[in-house]
Amino acid sequence: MKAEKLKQTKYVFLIGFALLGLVILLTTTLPNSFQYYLTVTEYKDDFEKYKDIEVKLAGHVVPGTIIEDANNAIWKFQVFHEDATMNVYYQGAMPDTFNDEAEVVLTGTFQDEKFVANHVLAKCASRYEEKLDQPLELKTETQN
Amino acid sequence: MEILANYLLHFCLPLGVYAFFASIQAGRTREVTWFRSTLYAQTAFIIFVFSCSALLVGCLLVGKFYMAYVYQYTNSTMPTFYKIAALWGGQNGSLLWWLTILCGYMAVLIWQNRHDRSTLFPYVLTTLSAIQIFFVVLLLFAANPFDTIPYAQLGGFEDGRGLNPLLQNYYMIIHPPSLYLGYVGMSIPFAFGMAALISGKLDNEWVVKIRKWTLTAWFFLSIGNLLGASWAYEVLGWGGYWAWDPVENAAFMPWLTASAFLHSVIIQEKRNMLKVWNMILVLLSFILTLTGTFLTRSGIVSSVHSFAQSDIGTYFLTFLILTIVVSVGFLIYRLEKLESKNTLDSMFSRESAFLLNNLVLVGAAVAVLWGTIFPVISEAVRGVKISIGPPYFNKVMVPIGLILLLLTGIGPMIAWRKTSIEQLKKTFYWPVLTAIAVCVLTTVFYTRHIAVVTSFTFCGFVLATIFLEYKKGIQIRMHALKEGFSQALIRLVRKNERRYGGYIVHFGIVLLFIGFSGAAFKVEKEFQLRAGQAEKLGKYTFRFDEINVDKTPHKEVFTSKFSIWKNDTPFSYAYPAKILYQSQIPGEPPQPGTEVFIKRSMIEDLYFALLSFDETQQTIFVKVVVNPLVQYIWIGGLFLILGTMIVMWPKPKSRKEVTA
Repeated sequence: MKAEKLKQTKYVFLIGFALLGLVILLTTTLPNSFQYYLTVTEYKDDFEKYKDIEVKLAGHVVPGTIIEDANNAIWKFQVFHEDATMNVYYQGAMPDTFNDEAEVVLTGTFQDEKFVANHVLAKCASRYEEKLDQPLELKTETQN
Repeated sequence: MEILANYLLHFCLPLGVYAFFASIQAGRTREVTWFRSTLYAQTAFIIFVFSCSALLVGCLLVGKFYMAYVYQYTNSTMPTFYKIAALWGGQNGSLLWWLTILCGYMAVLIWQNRHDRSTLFPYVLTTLSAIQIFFVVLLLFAANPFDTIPYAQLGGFEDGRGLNPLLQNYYMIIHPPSLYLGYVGMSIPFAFGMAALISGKLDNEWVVKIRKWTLTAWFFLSIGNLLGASWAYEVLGWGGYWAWDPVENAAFMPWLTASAFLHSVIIQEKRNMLKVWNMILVLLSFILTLTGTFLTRSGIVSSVHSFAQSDIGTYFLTFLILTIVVSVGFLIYRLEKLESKNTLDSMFSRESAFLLNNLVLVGAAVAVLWGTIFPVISEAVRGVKISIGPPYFNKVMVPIGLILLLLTGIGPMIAWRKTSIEQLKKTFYWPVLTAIAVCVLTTVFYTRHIAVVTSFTFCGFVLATIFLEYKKGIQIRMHALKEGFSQALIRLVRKNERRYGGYIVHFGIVLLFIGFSGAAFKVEKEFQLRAGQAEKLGKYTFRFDEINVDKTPHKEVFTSKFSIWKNDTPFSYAYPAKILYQSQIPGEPPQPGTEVFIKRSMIEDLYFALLSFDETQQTIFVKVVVNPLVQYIWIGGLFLILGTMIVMWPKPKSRKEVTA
């Protein structure tokens, strides 16, 4: 009976150590691996706090603001959330789903009066469902 | 068509509710009339759901553009198979597709068990009916694919917006159905687990019955994940195949817990142990599929794949909470009855190795879940939104993955109950020697990257164990039964599909790890080039030659041409392209698409993606990636699928009877 108990204690220790290892791994890794995720409004509201760190900035592309320099793969555009807008500069690979009004998440920092992105993520094409009410109604009017 | 479909969908609700209560009565009273009545209600339900899906496909094919769903996902110029694929291309249709697959699984299940008079099966139908009811409610009140656009009749809507051109890819036809087959497949083991808890019939019957169902779900989840990775690599991912996006994580988590179950179920079958643990794994796998779906469909987690924010998140959350409360409640209620009398005899036993493998697999699932939901927790607790990116997942999953890889080699080699130190030395002599040799060779000739050296070392170890197991089995047959090599090999696998098919799966896993290790040496750079200008990346020199345009009524294709030299020797040409798809809706800008060019080899892939171009000035911006060892991922995936098919292969009837 005693030997049985000892054996079980060994397993409790094994599982305990495995769990402890996992907790240590998760807790030590997480603080160095996250970025603030902010809408343009939140970013501007607390600008002093975030201006010097790399953040993820979420918003929609302001229609008509995209300027593309195809020779250099440079993109200049504005993003908005509610009433707040932000100028964005980006050089690099642009997702094919990027266009006017696209929902984007930009990774980058604020430099020289604009948000300089080093990565642009646009919603996957499979899921960019719009709320039907308004856009469709407007389109009906234009078609009529 | 849509009116009839709507009626059928409405009829499904009372039918589902009736089947739910009738099956409870069948379980409680064990009266055949209640059981039959449940089956009739379920049969009608299944036929109605199939009809709804067929009618939606009909609407998509015919082009009923006054229906919101048809308008959004098809247009008159789309090829027929993409119109059919639009069934799962959007939120509402994919939910109907989910319910259809569930009904498909249930049709098979009901047919197989139509004469089953055990107490277990009626409660299986109770649980599945509850899931059906949830999906019908969701479809009727929050995401009806048969909704029409009120003003459509006034004019306009002669054509639809069409499935996004980026999705008009053969992966769209096979990847989502595979994933859904995997996701939905987890419902069946869950239903059996719940039935065992409700009925109190907690012997091994339910475990034996769900093994193949779990394997089927796991099989499709594996295919779905691999196809997703391949799609990302070839079409959408700029040279990457896995980004730890919440949607990818949602499919990965149940895969991990189902993998754990497929191992630990062996212990329950052989030693009648880990009954509580197995029950938890089965419940958890289904709960994780719901959690993942809730996270990505509610819009509360930022994902590249996320659906638009909608009401269905609330429905999913309610159902998720209900599922957790009911399943955990029943588990606690039956806990005493589930406890096993057998205990582990030794730390050096197959049981212990499998238990450790289970802990690591579940630990991996917890780590992925933690990284996925931490942004939600952070926002709820601290009011601060954060994003957890690939660095977290890579740092956490590399050590976890390596431990798992090592256990893949250790587990199957240790004896049940107890292994002596002497036996261990004998068993692992050659595998350890192989591992040391691989470690030395990798360090001397390839790299000193610690994770890669460890990965290759463990891969060598596991490969040696697989080789030895096959060698031993074949030699015994050749000597004892006087069979030739190939005959012995084939019969060895056929006589014990589960064991030797499992080794093929493990071989696939080893190849996957070799492929993953290559990511450590991935090199990528973006270049701006004029026609005739050349650049270098690693041992490759590439020259941009020209860009040409090919115009058709529906798209413009801009194809660039590159000449490539490897170590200054002419090697190949590359033709990455950019496509502009014209929209069918007047005034809408064209949708760009990228057609990458991949020069594949077993050593490394050379990957070209055209980012932008100026046709008149003949200048381009191109991304070039050297991706070592990626091919091993796809080959490993094929072995994983092959091995699983061998494991799932039905036994001949006579052998079934004998083993039963």
